This record gives sequence, C-alpha cells and structure tokens, in this order.
Amino acid sequence: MTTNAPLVIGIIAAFLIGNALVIRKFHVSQDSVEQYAVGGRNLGWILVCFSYVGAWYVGAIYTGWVANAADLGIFALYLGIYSIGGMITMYFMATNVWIWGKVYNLTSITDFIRLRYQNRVFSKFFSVVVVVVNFFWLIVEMITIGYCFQVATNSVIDFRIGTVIASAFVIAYSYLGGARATAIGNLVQGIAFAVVGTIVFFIIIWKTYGGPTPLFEMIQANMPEHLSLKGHEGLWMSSVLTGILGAYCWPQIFNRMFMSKGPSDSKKAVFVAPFLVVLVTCGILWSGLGGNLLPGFPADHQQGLFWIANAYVGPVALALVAIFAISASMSTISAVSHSIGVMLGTEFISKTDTAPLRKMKNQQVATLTVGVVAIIIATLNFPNLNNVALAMYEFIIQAFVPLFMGIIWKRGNIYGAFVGMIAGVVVALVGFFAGSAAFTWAGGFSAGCVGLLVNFAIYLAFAFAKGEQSHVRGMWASLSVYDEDGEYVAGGKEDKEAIAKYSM
Amino acid sequence: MTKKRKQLYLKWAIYFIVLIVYITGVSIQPVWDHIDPYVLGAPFSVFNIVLIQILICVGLCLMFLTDRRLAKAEKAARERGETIDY
Repeated sequence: MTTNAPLVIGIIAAFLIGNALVIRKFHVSQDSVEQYAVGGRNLGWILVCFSYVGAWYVGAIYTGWVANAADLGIFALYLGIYSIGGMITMYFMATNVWIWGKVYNLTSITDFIRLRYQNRVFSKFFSVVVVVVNFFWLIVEMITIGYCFQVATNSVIDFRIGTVIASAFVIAYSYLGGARATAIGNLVQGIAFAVVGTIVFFIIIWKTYGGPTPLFEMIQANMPEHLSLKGHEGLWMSSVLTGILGAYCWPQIFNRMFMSKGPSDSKKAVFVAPFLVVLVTCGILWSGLGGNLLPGFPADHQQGLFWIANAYVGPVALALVAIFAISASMSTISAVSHSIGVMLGTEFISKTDTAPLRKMKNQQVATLTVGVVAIIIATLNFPNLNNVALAMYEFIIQAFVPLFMGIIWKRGNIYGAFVGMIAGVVVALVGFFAGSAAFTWAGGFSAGCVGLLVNFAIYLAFAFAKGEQSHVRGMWASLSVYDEDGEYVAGGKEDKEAIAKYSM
Repeated sequence: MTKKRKQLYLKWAIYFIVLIVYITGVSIQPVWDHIDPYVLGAPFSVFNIVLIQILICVGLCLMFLTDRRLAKAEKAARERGETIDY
C-alpha cells in the first residue's frame, strides 16, 4: 500500500503522546487493593460507560471482522447484536454485583465466584479457564497493534516494533495506574474510535460507495447472497447467543461493574454505550461489506479498511483508521492485562492473610508479568491465533451458568456449578479438537452451545437435588444494605452478623 | 433487590427475550429472502438487524428510566420510615 508514511507516523505518535499526557494528568497514586483493582469504586458513569466500550471493542474488528464482512456479508453484523445484547445481561446483574462487591470487598470475577460458592478449588478452576481464554485475546490484540503499525506505515514501522512500543506503553500505565488509568485510557481511546471513528467511517462509506444505499444496491446486484443469512442459520444463532451470554463473563468487562459509585452508575451506561455500539459496528462493517467489489481490493482482506481509507479518502484517513484500530486494541490490552493481573495476584500469589498493601503489589507484579509474557509471545507471530481466539468464546460461555445463575438465583450450589462447568468445558474441548464436523447433528449450533446446555442442565439438576448453600442467606440479606445510588441505607443486627460471617 | 424491582426486571426480561428469539430465529427464516424492499435506504435484511439493535437500545433506556423512578420512590419511602419488601 503506497502511503505518506511520515505523515501517518506523525499522527499516530501525536495520538499516543496525547494519551500519555491525559493519563498522567489524572494519575492517582495506588495505595490500596481497592484503588488498584477497582479504582476505589469511585468512577463516574461516563468513565464506566467508556470503560465498557473500550474493554469490549477489540482492534481485531478493524482487521478480522472487516475481512469477515467482505467475505460473508451481513453475517458479520452479528457483532453489533451480541454487543448490545451483552448490555442486557449487565443490567440484570449490576445491582447484586455492585452491592456484594462493596459489602464483601470483591475486586474480580473470581472473588465473586469464591464468595458465592465458598470453594477455593472451584474458584481456582474458574480462574484458570477465564485467564487462559482471556490470555489468547491479549496476544491477538498485541499482534493487531503491530499489524496496524505495519500496514498503515507501509512497513516503515515493523510489526514487532509496533507491537512492543504500543503494548509496553499500555502495560506500563496499567501497572502504575491500575483500574483508574485503564478507565481514563479507555475514555480517551473510546472517544477516538467510537465517536470520531463513527464520523470518519460514514465519510469513508460516502466517499467510497456514494453512501449506504448505493453500497447495498451494488452488493445486491453483484453478490446478493451477501445480504442474506441463508446457509449460516445455525452459526448465526449460536454466534449471537454465545456473544450475548458470554459478554459479561470476560473478567475485564465484569470488573467494570465494581468500579462505579453505585449500581445506578453502571446501568446509566445504557444511555450511551449501546447507541455507540450500533454506530461503530455499522460504520466499520458496512465499509468492508462491498470491499470485494472494489478494483484493487487487497488479497489479504484484513488490510481492507486501511486500503479503502487510503485509496478513497487519503493518508490522513488512513492514519485515523490506524489510530482507531490501535485505540481499540490498547483499550482491550489495558483492561485484559489489568484484570488478569488482579485475578492472579489475588487467587494464586496472595494468601488469605497477605497484608493488603502486599496484595496490591502482587497484583501489580502479576499485571506486569502477564503483559511482558504476552508481548514476547505476540512478537513470535503464531499463525491462526485469530481463529483460536474466536474459538475461545465457546469456553468463556461455560462461565455464564455459575456466574449469572449464581447472581440471580439462591438455589444454585457448588456441586452444580463445578460439575456443570467441567462438563461444558469438556464438550467445548471436544468441539475445539474434533472440529465442527463432530457437531453437525446439532443443526449448526456450535460445541460451546451444546456444552452450555449440558452445563445448564447439570446446574439445575443439582440445584433441585441439593438446594441452596447455607451462606447464601447472608449474601442475599446484604442486598438491602446499599441502595441503587450506592448509599448505605440499612443493615440490622442480623444482616451484619450474616455478612460478617462470610466476609472475604 | 426489592420485590417491585424483581417484577420490573421480569417484565423487561420477557421483552428482551422476545427480541433475541426474533433476531436469532425468526429473522433468518427463508420467507425474508423473498421480501426485498428497501426500508430507509437499506435492504430489509440489513434494516431488520439494525431495527432490532435500536429496539434493544430503546428498551434498555426505558428500563433504566422506570428503574430510576422506582429507586427514587423506594428512597422516599425509606425516608418516611416505611418498610420495603425484599
């Protein structure tokens, strides 16, 4: 791709410097686990909202998903539906999760699992599953950053150098500034790729195709099958469902519910985040839908969006697209490395009697270590890592049953949670290694969906057979202690005793 | 969570389940492939996907607004010393 590399590099460098200055300006020294892990539970709704958007939208949307849109047509739009659908599950969990987080001082998804099921072996198993699944995405996002640098600068900045520079910058501020720095970074990056990005992508659609209607008419005339879901019915259904159900099982997304000032601040995000999702998804994916019909469209469709921006608008648009993709990747890298660091620091490095400040240091060291290891692996550039990362959805949704059911239903217990999740993961593993051919009998539904059903059935069976665990009464009693604004409102003697008994 | 909030969530849960069942199941039925009108400048298939997303967005906003009104009513009741049903 011929481009004005110095101009593109200058614009990207200015953006990264701007990012660093904003994060530095709002930096707060980290002096407690609560501050480092969940930003002191004091983030306003705008920060929380952009945290959701930033942690959710990956840079791979600008590469892999655009390639999918060019190859598969409107099937790729499932991204928008499941992203918004995920907000629904957040809404139903937010009140309970925030109050338990505040009462029991929870800082991660595994803290919640340990509290809810009172079993350290299960919480470790749960951590391993979500950390492994998440780690793949961390590497993919680092590779995406390097790829963006390489493509946008016409290989003046090598893939490995791009990966190391941008990832190291993100890991550094996640290590030093914790949840607050990741949230502020997400705000800057989210405004860049979601707000400015939306405007730029619709300009690109107009400049390239003459607008959405001519774009669709062009596709209908030449590739009508790209405007239909025929032939992908089962995959469409399972992709939407796994996305919706798995959305808040990602630790970096779940953690966002602990960071707000109260449940209401988490929920208020529904005024902005879902609408941004619609605009971002349509802008990016519609730009790629007609790519195959453009003369000179690159054979590597992952470069498609960069090529369109450069060829039809110019090098400034190319630099902006690179910034949006890099922003989305940076947001994800910061949120993922930080949340994995917090989980590992608490679950595997610290003990129950570790001093709070030591615990926070452990979380910081874990964040740094995870980041450095991921950078090293990313520079090795393993093939097919994108496909492996996408397959990880099949595993992460197995966490949905113990997580969501544990939040809304008292009766679920450790037996159902443990056996059900193991069964679900095993079914997903069979699908992963044996391939989709082994599940053709499921009518196009993926192994992960089949595993989810098995997981759910086992959870229900044990819930009815064994009943609730004794400690859940205290947990549910604690729900009357804080209101929707996060203000302390009640807590009689009985409640306090029940809560104190199971405090972490 | 109060009893009233549980009831509110149940009603909205049904609304969202209907939308998701529609988009995952009904919207991919072959009958739609024969309906080819352009609605607001987009083919029906694309319009359908965007419409569902907008309906979910609007549903979430309305749910938040009713939830917020309920939270304020609960707060006022507590200040009056009334018992809240959990």
